[in-house]
Amino acid sequence: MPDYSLLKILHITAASLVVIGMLLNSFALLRPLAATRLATLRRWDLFVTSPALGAVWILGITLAISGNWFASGWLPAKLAFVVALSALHGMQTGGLRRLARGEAAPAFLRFSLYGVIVSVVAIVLLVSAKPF
Amino acid sequence: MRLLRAVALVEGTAFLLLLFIAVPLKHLAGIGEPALILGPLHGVAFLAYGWLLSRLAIEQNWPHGRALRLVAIGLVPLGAFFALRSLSSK
Repeated sequence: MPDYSLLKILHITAASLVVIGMLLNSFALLRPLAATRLATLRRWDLFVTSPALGAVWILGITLAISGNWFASGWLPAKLAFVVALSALHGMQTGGLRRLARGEAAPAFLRFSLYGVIVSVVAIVLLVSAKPF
Repeated sequence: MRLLRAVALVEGTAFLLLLFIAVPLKHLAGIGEPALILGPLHGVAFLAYGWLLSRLAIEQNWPHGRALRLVAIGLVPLGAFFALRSLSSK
């Protein structure tokens, strides 16, 4: 099993890239972007944000096993937010694909910015405070 | 859609192997290694399944509830195989 601190650093780095990418996606879904900028954002999502999300899942599960965190109550609560955030990212990429085809993205995706912020704040609180 | 079907197949197979082979081996025979491999594999496969479903539901403008129904049936054993059938028929 790799060193716990190294796993933690890699997990936090990957999670930071996911949050940055999802905030960029949120802004693109809020206001229309020029086609070239939308294409750049979709490339960033394909080569950085989406692989980082996969890395977050794998590193997170490895950390939970090596730290024996599955026995703690806060982890299932955090996992619920991770699942919600992952689904939101899936919806954002679906919305960006529709924008790239010249179609409108679903209106509710304009509020995805709030979903990202609420989920990230909840995850950070649960991980740092470990309240239960 | 092809990727989603492949992930659903991996998720469903990992879930069945975990439930009917790895967990009994861990609790009845004290052999924990299969559960240690299949548990994370199933977890990652389920997250990928949910992510792909969310993307396709928005991209292809699925009717309300179809993605939720497919996520819900992915939570039960053999559910992913029913999801595969549903995804292949449409």
